[in-house]
Amino acid sequence: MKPRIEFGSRQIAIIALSTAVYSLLNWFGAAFQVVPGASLIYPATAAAVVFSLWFGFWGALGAYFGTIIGGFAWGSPIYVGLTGGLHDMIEGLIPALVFYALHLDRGLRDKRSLLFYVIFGCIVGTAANAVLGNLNFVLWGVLPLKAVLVGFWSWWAADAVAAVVLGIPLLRFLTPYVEKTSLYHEGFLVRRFRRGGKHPA
Amino acid sequence: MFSTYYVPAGGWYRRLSPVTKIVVPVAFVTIGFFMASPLSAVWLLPSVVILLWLARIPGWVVRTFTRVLYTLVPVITVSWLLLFQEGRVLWAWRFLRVTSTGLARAVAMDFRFTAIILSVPLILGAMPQQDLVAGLRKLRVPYMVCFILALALRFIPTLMADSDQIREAQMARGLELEKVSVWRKIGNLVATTLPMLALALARVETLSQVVECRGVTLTRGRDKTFYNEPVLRPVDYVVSLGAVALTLAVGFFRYHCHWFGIGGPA
Repeated sequence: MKPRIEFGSRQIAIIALSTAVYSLLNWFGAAFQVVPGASLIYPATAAAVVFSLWFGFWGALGAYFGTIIGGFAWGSPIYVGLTGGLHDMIEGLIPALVFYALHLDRGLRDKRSLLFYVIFGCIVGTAANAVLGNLNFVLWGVLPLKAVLVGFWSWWAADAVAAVVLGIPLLRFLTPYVEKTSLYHEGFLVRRFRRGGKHPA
Repeated sequence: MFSTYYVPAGGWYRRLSPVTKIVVPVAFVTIGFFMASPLSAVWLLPSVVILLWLARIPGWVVRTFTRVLYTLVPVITVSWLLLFQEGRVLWAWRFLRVTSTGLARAVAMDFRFTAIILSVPLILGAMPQQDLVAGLRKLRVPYMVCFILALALRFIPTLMADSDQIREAQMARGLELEKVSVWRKIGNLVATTLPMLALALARVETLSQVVECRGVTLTRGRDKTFYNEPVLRPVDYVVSLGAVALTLAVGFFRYHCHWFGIGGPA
């Protein structure tokens, strides 16, 4: 059975929630700066990854809008946010696509799921975001190209710390609750697969 | 955040349509990105100050955004000074080098981003959220995007209030959130974030049912009428079109005539 794309009231509410939470956690990150421009933890990363795992594409879309709103309210130029939202979305999409494709447990209740989360959520996804994020700053003239080599490490570390310290407890403790709600997405673009139909993945 | 920056005030700029109040700052930011040399970028600062004065933006709103500059300006300056190596060497010490082009770029970027960041209050401080969303709708931004934006903006103050309440409740239970090291603060972040998300998820379920009951669909915006419809007066057309024309002119001179760049006129 062909997968369908579901976009209704729940997806609208999910995108709005993800956007609001991402924007707010974006702000919280400023409280953990140790030197100007370098934060020990970027809590919004956990929101991007966790919402993408729970709600699929619609959760990741919230990271995109959240980057624009959160960055804008912080003073970031709108053009930087419009392109920057894409790499924040990718940060959540990478582990989400892996989890949906391999039918891993999003509650991290087995070792295989935890291992894949650490690899793709805490390492690969955050590294991709760090590279693309620094390149986004180069694109808009905030930093020179050589600064990518320097900026990458602090960015990656802050995102990885958030994905581990916040992401794992959120998934472990809240996934059982989210699974019981009508918001939880079994598929990347749909909430529930039709009974009796072949699993599209 | 968003909802706290708007302060009602009088003045010519405040009486403009929300559409104009979106177009003017966006045009200013675009012009800012065209200014690559210090001599051209320096004019952005007095321009934005004049715009902020015309818009009657309170000083405390502007000061909130200047705090961002305490972080951003040092990062931009040091990055361009030490990592951009083209041009004549002005100063060198071991592996560190400061070049003429690096210095020019650093100064230009500092002016540019200072002016751009100070232009943000022109949007956030000059109109309430509902006007911002109405203005975006008038600019043909898809209805669903405007609707989601309005929902998210309305959600943010609620989440902030929840977050404050949870922090106080956790502190009342003995969790130390202030007088601890940064590493303990990071660990304690879970204690505030997890309950906040649980509350937010419960609200979202209710929100989705409300949205469904009101019949909001993907195609709804096509036939929908709105109570708050921005009206464009002749002065709005003059100001908006003037801003767009100025942006296009600056862009033309920048890329066709190579003005405003390092080494070009001005």
